[in-house]
Amino acid sequence: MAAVIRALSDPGGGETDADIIRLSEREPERFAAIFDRHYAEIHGYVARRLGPSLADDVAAETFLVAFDRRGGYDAARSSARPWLYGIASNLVARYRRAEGRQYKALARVGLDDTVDGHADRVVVRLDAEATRGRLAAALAAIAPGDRDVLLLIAWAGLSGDEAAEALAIPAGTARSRLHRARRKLRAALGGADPTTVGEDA
Amino acid sequence: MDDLKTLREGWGTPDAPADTARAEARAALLARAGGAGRAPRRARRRLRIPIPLPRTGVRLVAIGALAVAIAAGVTVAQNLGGTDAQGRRKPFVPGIPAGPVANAAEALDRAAAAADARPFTAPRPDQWTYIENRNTSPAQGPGGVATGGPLKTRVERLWRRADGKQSAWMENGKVQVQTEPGPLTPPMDYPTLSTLPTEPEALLRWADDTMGGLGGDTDEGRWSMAFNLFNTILRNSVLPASVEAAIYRTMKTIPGVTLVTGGVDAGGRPALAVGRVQEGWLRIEVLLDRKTYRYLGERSVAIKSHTNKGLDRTMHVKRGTVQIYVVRVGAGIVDRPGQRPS
Repeated sequence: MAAVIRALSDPGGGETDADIIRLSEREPERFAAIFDRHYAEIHGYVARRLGPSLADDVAAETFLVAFDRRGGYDAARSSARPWLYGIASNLVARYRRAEGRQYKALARVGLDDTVDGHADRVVVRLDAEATRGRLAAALAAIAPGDRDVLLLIAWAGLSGDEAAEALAIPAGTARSRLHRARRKLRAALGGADPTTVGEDA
Repeated sequence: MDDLKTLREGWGTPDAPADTARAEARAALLARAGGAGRAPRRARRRLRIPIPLPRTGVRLVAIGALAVAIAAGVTVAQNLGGTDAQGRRKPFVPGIPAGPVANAAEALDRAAAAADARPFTAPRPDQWTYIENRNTSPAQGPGGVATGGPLKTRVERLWRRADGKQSAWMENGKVQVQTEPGPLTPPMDYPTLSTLPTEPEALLRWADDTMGGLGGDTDEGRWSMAFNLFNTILRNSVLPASVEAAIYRTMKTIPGVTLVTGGVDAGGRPALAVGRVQEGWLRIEVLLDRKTYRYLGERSVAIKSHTNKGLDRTMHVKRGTVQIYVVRVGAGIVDRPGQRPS
């Protein structure tokens, strides 16, 4: 397998994603460069939302769907990231229940396996797990549509406008979804007074 | 701490995707893109990927005089062969028997011998290989699977610089030249194709290495990957005669390759079809001229109705649906992109 990856993974030098997608119209194999550029990132994003085993399937499917829809790609967008994240989000949406289960499971984790290991390490892990547990509980309670926007911004690193494009929703809608999601998140983290939370563009 | 930052940093970084997952996903994509044979069996089962097909943006190759003859609507066979004074059939290609072939092995042997007998002058590195094809297929469903419907025909023309560094095509009547960003798999650049092994065993080994085990763990997977790979190369590339011959000889060694009975038409010319059934329902065929044994194109046809379930949707393919139908129109070697062989 390594040989194949090497053979094909010249990700295309200075070409933009849009260039590659355009070329892949006549030479479908070129789309592999889009995979090489973005697979790890998309996989990571899906893994955070659905766990590693579903992530393998969903990340793979993301690129198949993207390939099928490459004809409709807007050539004016040089980076394919928002587009790919949008496709991944739509596929994740098919696993709402699995996603919810994963957050709930993570919310519970952290308190019941503290018997082995050095005390210091255990404490550090507990801290991290406790934080993640609180986050997971918050995510589980956020409406799916709001969560999509929140996670595209927090985890995928998209801007508010990019998240809106990725999800094919108006920018204003994305902003208000983000606002709602963050209010819940802050409340769950025991942070700021929800009423003082502003909107992020 | 800012809530978004907490969310970003407090979640922990997911493990990098496993190499196997990445390789399977990539193989699945390449299978979908059509040039890479099929995905490994395991990946297909888990992903329920629609079957891999020959690439839809196919290009085909005809070399030299035949290409011109076809383009001009001339039947080459009229100018060749015939009967001798005693009424015996004369061979169309010297040294190669005329008349019907008994089986796939015989057809491929004759195709190899005819290729070997053909004069071929290698292009200079600054020349361009030219390929023109006519690709007819039903409007395709998602994943490149044709489920029926009206037929669409597209003619495609592609130039590749013989040093492998550039390729070109026509867009709105203008020649577009681009620098090749990197190697493709399967290879389409002349430097790689012209140095392929010409012994069947070595060529098969090369196929396996090149596709990096994409055929999966089973013999059947590897055979069908190899057959698809050779089809793709025949379809897309101008090849030295010796390499083309080697491909036919190697195809002959692949189990399950059979002569298709009944007539197959390649753009109005009767063709011999040598095919191999994949996954129990899709037969992929190389089309060869009945008399000169030249490569005429490729066809893939559902020999059984087939239902394909994917994450996205379910597809039904009816028996007899042609998935792809490629007729080689022309090819050759020219000095400039945009130029057609004279």
